[in-house]
This record gives sequence, C-alpha cells and structure tokens, in this order.
Amino acid sequence: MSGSWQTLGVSVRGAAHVRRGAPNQDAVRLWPRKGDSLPLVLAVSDGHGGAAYTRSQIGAAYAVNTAVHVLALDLLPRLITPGVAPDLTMVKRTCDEWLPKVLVRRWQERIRRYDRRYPLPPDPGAAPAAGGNETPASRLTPYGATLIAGLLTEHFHLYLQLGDGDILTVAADGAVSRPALPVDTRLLGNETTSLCMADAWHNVRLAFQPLVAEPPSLVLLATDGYANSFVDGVSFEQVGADLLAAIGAQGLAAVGAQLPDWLAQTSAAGSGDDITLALALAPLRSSE
Amino acid sequence: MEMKLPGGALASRPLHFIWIADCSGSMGRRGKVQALNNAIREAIPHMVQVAKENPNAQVLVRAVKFSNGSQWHVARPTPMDQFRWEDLEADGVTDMGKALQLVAEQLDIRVMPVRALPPVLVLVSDGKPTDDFSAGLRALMEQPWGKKAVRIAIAIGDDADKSTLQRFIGHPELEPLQANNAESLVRYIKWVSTAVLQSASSPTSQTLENAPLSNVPLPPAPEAAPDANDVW
Repeated sequence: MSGSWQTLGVSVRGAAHVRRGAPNQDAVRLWPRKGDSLPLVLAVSDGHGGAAYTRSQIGAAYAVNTAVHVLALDLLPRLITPGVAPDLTMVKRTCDEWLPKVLVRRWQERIRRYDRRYPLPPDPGAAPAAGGNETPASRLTPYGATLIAGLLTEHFHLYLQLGDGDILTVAADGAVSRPALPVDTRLLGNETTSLCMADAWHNVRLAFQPLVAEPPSLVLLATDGYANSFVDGVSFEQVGADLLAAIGAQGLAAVGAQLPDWLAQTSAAGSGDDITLALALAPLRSSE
Repeated sequence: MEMKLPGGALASRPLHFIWIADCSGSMGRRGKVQALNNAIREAIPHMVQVAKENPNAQVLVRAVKFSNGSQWHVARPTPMDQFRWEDLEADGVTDMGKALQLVAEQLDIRVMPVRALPPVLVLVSDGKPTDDFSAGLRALMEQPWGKKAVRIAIAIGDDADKSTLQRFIGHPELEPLQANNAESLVRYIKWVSTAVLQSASSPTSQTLENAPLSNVPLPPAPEAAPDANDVW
C-alpha cells in the first residue's frame, strides 16, 4: 500500500428537527483529530429525541469523547506493544470482557459529574419517582444516547455498537458488507438501547475482525437517520459503494465538501432525523 | 463536476394507520354505524393536513371490519391524499378476534419493514366478542410491531365490552374512550386522526426501559360530549 489513511466526520441537523426547532442531537469524533496513520478511532452517537432526554446532545458529545478516550488511551496500550505482533485471542478476550463495562461506566461517571455541576432544575410537572426517591440511573436519563465506534489497527478492526445505527465496510471493488455484530431484534421503531440504561453494558455489541487479508477500502459509521432515509437496506448500503466511487473520482476533500449538503438532502427526502457519518479511507493500494 | 447523491432510492418512513371497525348487527341500531361512517369521513381532511405537515412520515391508511368473520374494508395501504371512505354496513355477530388476526398478518416484520414508524391501531366496538378474542390478541402481540403499535380503543355505548378493549390497549393506565353519543364519537375519532396521528408522525427516540405508556407520547384525549345527548 502507499499513502495514508484519511478520516472524515460530518453531522447535519435533521429536516424534522429544523421544523420543530430541535437541535442536532448527534455527535461525531475522530482520533487522532487529523489522523493519517493507524491506529484510528471513529465514533458517532445519536442523542435520543424523546421528551425525557432534554440533554441528549450533551450525552452524545460525552459518548463520542468517552469512546475515543477509552479505546485510544486506555484499551490500545493494553492490547498493542509497538513492534510486537499482538496475541489476537487475548485481544479479543480483553475487548469482550473489559471494554463494555469500562466504556459504560466511564460515560456514566462523566455524566454524573456534569449533572452535579450543572443540575437540571426540578420539573414541577414531573410525577414523583416510584417510592419518592430519584434513582442514580434516572439522573442519567436526560442524557440518553447511542454509541457506535470503530478501532482500526494494522492487525485488527474492532467495532462496537450500543443502540441503533449502522456500520458498513466497503471492499476495493465496491462490495459492501456489515461487521458481524450480534443482531438486536428489540431495536424497532423508535425504541433503542442506550448508554443511560442501568444495564447498558449488557447491550454493547462487539465485532472483532483480525485482518488476515486486505483491510476494507472504506469504513462508514452512521447514526440511524441515514439508513432510515432509504426505501430499504440495499438502497442504504449503496451509499458505501457510491461514496468510494466518488472519492476515487473526486478525492476525499471534494466529497467532504459536498457531504453536508448530501446528508441534508437525504434527511429532507427521507427520515427527517439528524444524520451523522464518520468514515475512514484506506490508503490506495499500489496496484490501484 | 456535480456528483450524484450517494445511495439508492430515498423515502419517508411509512406510518401505517389501521381502523378496526365493529360492523355487528347491534351497530345498526340507533344510528351507531352511520355515526362512525360520518365521523371517519369528517376526519379525513384533518388527517390529510397532518400528513402534509409531516413530510418525513408517509401515512398509509387501511381498515378492517368485523361481524360474521372479518375482512379488509380498505385492503391497500392507501396514501392519505387518496383515501376515501365507503360506508360500513351493520349485520351479524362480533368476530373481533378474527379482525386482530388479520391485522397481525400485516404487522409481520417481513411485511412491515423495521424502518417503519410504530403503527397506529384504532379499535371501535359496541359489543362483546363472539369469537376467540384471546387468540386474536395473542397473534397480534406475538408480532414485534403489534407490541410496539399505538393501540387506541373506542367503546360505543354502554354495552361495549370495556374489559376486552382494555386488554387490547394493554396498559392499565390507558382506558378505552367511551362514546355514548355521535358528538362524542366525532370528538374521539378526530382526536386519533389528528393529535395521535401527529404524535406518531413525528416520533422521537427513547430507550427500551424508559418507554412511556404508549410507544409515542399520547396527547390528552378530549372530554366526552354532554350526557344529555346520550343515546347509546
């Protein structure tokens, strides 16, 4: 291969959010911020829009920041020693056993700190909590958000997902696939699992992919407003092939300049929801 | 050079709205079925307006009728601007369970895609089921979309079996709406056609464990019309 990896993150406010005066409740974060070498971390988050989730855009911002912190600064040094091939069995086990609990705990700790510093005013119209006591979990509810993240290294790709949204990988020939995350059939309609749930770590889904062949040419992480804008899954997955072709023809900078407009058009003609996209583009192969 | 919008065909999210109407013989007494026909017909322009105001939801309306058995009164999921209401006629028994089975078939995840919005089911009845209601309800609730559906029930007159309608709703804190006269029925039909439809058309995400009484926030229902008008 030649050249370097390139990353891009774009988030647009949904057409329905614009109509009802709601903010963009999604967030995106890339690490390194101007990264061009592995390892890379991509993260997107979708803050819930329901009336109970009054600070979900803050929860989403903390979600992507926490993901980057945990994956890049805490997990990576445990997994990889520079110059030494990692034991992928051990890496996978560490990811499975350690990551969901730590990730969720860190987000919840950070949110509780934020909430203590900037407490929400009491809602005079709110029904008293059962038993008259506010639970620690209920303090997290206003910040509810999903999380999708990817850790890309030269030895493996790790994808994690809590709640709805999509991950696509695109091969050099344009073939689109999805990492083998466990399917969560409860994610239907407008209900999702969330970082604010008491047992959130149980709902974190992981896909660990050792790189035995060429890595995908393009990795895409998207909040659910994107896929929900298409008539079906195949039409959404076409995004992967189209973006790779567009980048090949015009370059990432040109595509990146148009993406906000494309995503806004997609939201307006589709779901109306916020759309957030993070992508990582592999270096061009020498034969390409 | 201008590039093509990435991806295949775009579409707003389908929102299936299904009337489930009792056409048993008792609905023919004291003008009940005609009052229901009039109320639904009057509600159509309001539904069209709500659909226009929510372009990211594609409202698709159907209707099931039940008496001796059950059948689709409007079988095709019909875009709101094409929806017309043909009068229901009353005759026969109250096979409500069969109606729920018919609806359940259409809520199968292979028929109604996961990107749809939670469907709205409105059950209107003046009597007691004469078939196996439990089997019908079980079939409905076995479907993921059946469980997630916004389920509203309207009881027409004092003979309506409110406990059955309550089981259909499935939440003890949400009760059937009691219409004892045509004016009350119009109010309730208009409420589900406008306020509930509006709420279902602009859904906001929520967690599995924090879902409120209904899968979409339900606005307050209107008061019934004055008792002095009661005829049912």
